[in-house]
Amino acid sequence: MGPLLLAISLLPKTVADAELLRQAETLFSAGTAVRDKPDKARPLFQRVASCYEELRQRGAHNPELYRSQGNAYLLAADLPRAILAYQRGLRLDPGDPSLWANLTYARTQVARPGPRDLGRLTEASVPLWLPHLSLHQRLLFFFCTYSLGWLGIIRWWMLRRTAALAVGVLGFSLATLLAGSLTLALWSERQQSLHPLVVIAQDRVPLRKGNGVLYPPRWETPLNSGVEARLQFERGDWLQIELAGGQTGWVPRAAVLLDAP
Amino acid sequence: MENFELKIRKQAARSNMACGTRVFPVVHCQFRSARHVALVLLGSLIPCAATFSDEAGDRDEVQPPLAGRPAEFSGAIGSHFDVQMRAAPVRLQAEDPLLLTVIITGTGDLQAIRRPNLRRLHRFAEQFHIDNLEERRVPAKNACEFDYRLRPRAAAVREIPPLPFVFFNPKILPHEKGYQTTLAKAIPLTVQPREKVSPGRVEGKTPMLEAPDSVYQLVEGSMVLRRESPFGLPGPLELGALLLGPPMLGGFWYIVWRQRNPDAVSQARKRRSRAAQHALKALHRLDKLDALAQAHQAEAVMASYLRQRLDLLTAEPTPTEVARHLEQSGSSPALAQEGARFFAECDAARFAPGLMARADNWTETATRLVLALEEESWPS
Repeated sequence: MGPLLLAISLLPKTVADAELLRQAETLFSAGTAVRDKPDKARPLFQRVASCYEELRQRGAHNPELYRSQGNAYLLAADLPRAILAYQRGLRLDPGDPSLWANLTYARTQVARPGPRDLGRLTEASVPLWLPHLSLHQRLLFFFCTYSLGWLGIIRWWMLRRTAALAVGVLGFSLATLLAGSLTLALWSERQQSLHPLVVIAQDRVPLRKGNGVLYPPRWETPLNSGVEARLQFERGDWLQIELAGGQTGWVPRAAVLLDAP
Repeated sequence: MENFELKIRKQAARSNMACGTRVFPVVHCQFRSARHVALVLLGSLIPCAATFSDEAGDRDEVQPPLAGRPAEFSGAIGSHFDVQMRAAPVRLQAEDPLLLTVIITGTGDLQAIRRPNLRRLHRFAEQFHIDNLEERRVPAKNACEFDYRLRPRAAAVREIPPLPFVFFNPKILPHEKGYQTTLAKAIPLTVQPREKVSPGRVEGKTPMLEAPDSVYQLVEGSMVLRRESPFGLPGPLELGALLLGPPMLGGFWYIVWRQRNPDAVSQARKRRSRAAQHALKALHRLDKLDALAQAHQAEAVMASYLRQRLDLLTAEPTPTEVARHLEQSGSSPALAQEGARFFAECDAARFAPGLMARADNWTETATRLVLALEEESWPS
């Protein structure tokens, strides 16, 4: 975190967003050119990530920004921040195949020792080849199909034509599906707001039974950096988290990255 | 009596020696003889004296009883045991190992002494990760030593806590009161937090990530600067308007349509008659036939319609039968005549096509006739 803050602080505050973005792109090209020399490439990628972080803090908020930032963090060997950036992007666009591909790759880099699959995550619940609609699009299509359903039914009432009835039934069926999908997505969004993402930022962090070092670890296998979880409760400097498999435990706040607004 | 007193004093002195660190005395108040009464009375003046039996002597072969045996009993039997601890290093970082040696010396059988189980001691277990190492018997010093590797779990650990050691003193009566506990002194520790490993110490040693090409790509352009607002549902009023809008719009459309198409409304109502619907569909299918075939088929469709709708019994009615049946059913005479005329013209077209007065569209005529019949108000 130190180098990151240092790099951000070195950036002039007056630099416009576009200029900052141009710097990031230039640094990324330079880093890619020396990708075979990790000691030279990683600091460059770290600076790229810092530029994107600065843009994020200035208010930029879109899947493309998070994909680029995640890539920069990943190439700078900062796995937890890369995963956090990809997850932020997927929250905005859950159907982005590039974000999913890069997140999947990043997850393969997380060391998961031991027989227990602590924190192992499932993949996307919806196949990526399906066309994905954003929430705005879903709402728009819902009202379109809902209106179509009404028009079809009323036309059928006028003329008693089977075709009009079919259009009405089809419209209402699609509207019902879209309403269900929208409700599910809103519920999921609410859950994500209530239980934000937590990414373990250090290696060998024990998942403890209580909020203190005196509590014994819940399992002998500790958590490594990059393991994802959901926040349940906060108590002082300790967070209770729930892993993908449903296992819960406490970790110190300093050992994790929290996707809090 | 003096001999007894001397013996008690000797035993008390020996006992106090045994309490090299701390010994918890056990009070024994069972009178078995006058001599014993005196012993107890005297024991009230001399600490520990009354806990010793004048009969047991130095017999160590007494088996420790199960009654009153503490869970932490070490197996040591004897009148005197001393426990000490030695640790190195005492200044270390959290999670670094230190070697702890527990040294037990005493007069009894050292072979019977079991290794103290530190993991069962709460203060040890919560503050240290414990590994058992080797153990040694040193007959020359009449001692046994047990090694442990301890790792402080956190920088908050300040000491190795006192270690309790439970042994059985066979000289104390009754024997179930003979279990004694001695403590090894705590050892102060200075535990510091672990140094943070800076990225610079490890950078360059790990190989470059063999990442897929998609990771080496950036999204370029001003779209990266976009500020997407989080999704939010419309407010209750807007949502209500959006949900009620389509049905209200549809209702308005229906009213306008009715006003502009009164015939269509009437036709639509008539079409609700099942027989009329079937007849109209059948007539609609006849459009592509030639006039002769149309006349033949249209007559059949109309006859079928009249059978279903007005219970006409004849399969192939004559125009007269049609007119009579319609009038009997309550139709207006004009409509009855129109029906009869239709059937007459159809017959003419079928049986004398050369005499066909006009090349009518039979389908259209039949459709008009069906709709006219549907519009008629039939008596119930």
